[in-house]
Amino acid sequence: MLSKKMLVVVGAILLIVANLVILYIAGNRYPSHGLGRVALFLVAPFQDAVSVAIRFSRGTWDNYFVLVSTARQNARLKESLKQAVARNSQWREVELSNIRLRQLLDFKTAMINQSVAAEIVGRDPSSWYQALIINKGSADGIRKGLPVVVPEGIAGQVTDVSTHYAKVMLIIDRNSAVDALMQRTRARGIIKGEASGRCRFQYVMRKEEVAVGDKIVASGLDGVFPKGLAIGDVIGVVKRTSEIFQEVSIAPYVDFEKLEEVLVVLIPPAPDFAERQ
Amino acid sequence: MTYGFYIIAGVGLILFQTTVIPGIAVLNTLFDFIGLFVIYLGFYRPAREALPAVVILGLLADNLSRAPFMLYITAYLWVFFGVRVLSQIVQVSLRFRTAFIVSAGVLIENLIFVFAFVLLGPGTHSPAAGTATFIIQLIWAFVLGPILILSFKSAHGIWDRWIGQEGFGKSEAK
Repeated sequence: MLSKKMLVVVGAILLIVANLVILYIAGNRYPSHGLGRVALFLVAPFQDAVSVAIRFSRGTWDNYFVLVSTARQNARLKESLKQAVARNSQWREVELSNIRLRQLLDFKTAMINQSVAAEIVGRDPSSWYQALIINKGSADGIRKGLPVVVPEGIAGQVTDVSTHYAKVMLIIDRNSAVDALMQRTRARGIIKGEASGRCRFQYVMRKEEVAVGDKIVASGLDGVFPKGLAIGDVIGVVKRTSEIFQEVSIAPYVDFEKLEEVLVVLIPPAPDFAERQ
Repeated sequence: MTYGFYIIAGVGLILFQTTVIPGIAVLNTLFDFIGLFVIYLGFYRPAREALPAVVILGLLADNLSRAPFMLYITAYLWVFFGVRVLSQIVQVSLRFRTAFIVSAGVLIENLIFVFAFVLLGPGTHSPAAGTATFIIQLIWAFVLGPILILSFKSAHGIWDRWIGQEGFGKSEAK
């Protein structure tokens, strides 16, 4: 006959095991649940309202202080503008030749032009995971799997969509993976998110030459992110004698803490990704 | 009508956690406020009354986060029951009883997240990167937790008095 204490211990162990199994199954099935859309539908409008209020207050506060130094800044900017106009005429020539060369290389800029601008209305409640809620959804053409970018580079990927809001997994989330290559040497690998807010360039062969400061861009081979989009700089390289691959740390160009607006690129995601979702 | 308080406090905390805190760099490593509310519910409220609120809060947080689905519900339920058990075990006369129990609640939540982070996710991530966050959250919880828990309690009392339920104390678990 089991004592009461023993029963409690056995019950607790059974509960923990059952919990682990449920978490494992639910975690692996993740991406989308109908319930997720309900939560986005219910909470995101409030997040939107609060974000707008915060942005308005911050803007008002900043503008007040900015006005104080505006006059001095204005004079300085006028001087800069004169120089910029002169430089601009030179760059115009460069731009024209660039356009000709792009046409020659069949560079598909249209892909980037087909995008939707969205504002960030909320962030992941956990500091262990990295996601954003944006104020554009299926009504605006957003679909699961679409890449999310900012002028500095790749920000993330849409993982869940409701009518007017969507959830975006950032590239610094540990579940994120972007097929990438090193701009200088064309060495290929996968960019994975790290808990520290940095990224890791994985599966780069040990024989490849990688140096601190090298730029990493999207390879386009994952069928999600357009080729050539910037990701970040190499900030550390570790080559272990016993390993096939080297460890490469990346500092993303995007400052994820200060993100306020993003662009969702409206290109179709790879079919296998859409199926996985 | 106590559920009215849970809805307002819960949604308010979710908004605070997802919109206000990310904009303040210093507070970014602060503990999960929704989790703290769950600790309050486990500490002061009857299980039958608080459990639906705990599950709904977990579900909302789960769906706003990139965490594996059900991680928040799991974490909040363990925190809720852990706090209840601890509040019965730990002596009432202990000087830092509330601080200790709040820290323990935050510890339980973080342990579950670390577990999910290390074992359930892809790749071979080391929890080392999250260790600093883990420790900072515990310190914050020890210092700020009791104050916030008492604030929840007093806000709940005000709410109950405001809507004409004088028996706030009567429905308390202890």
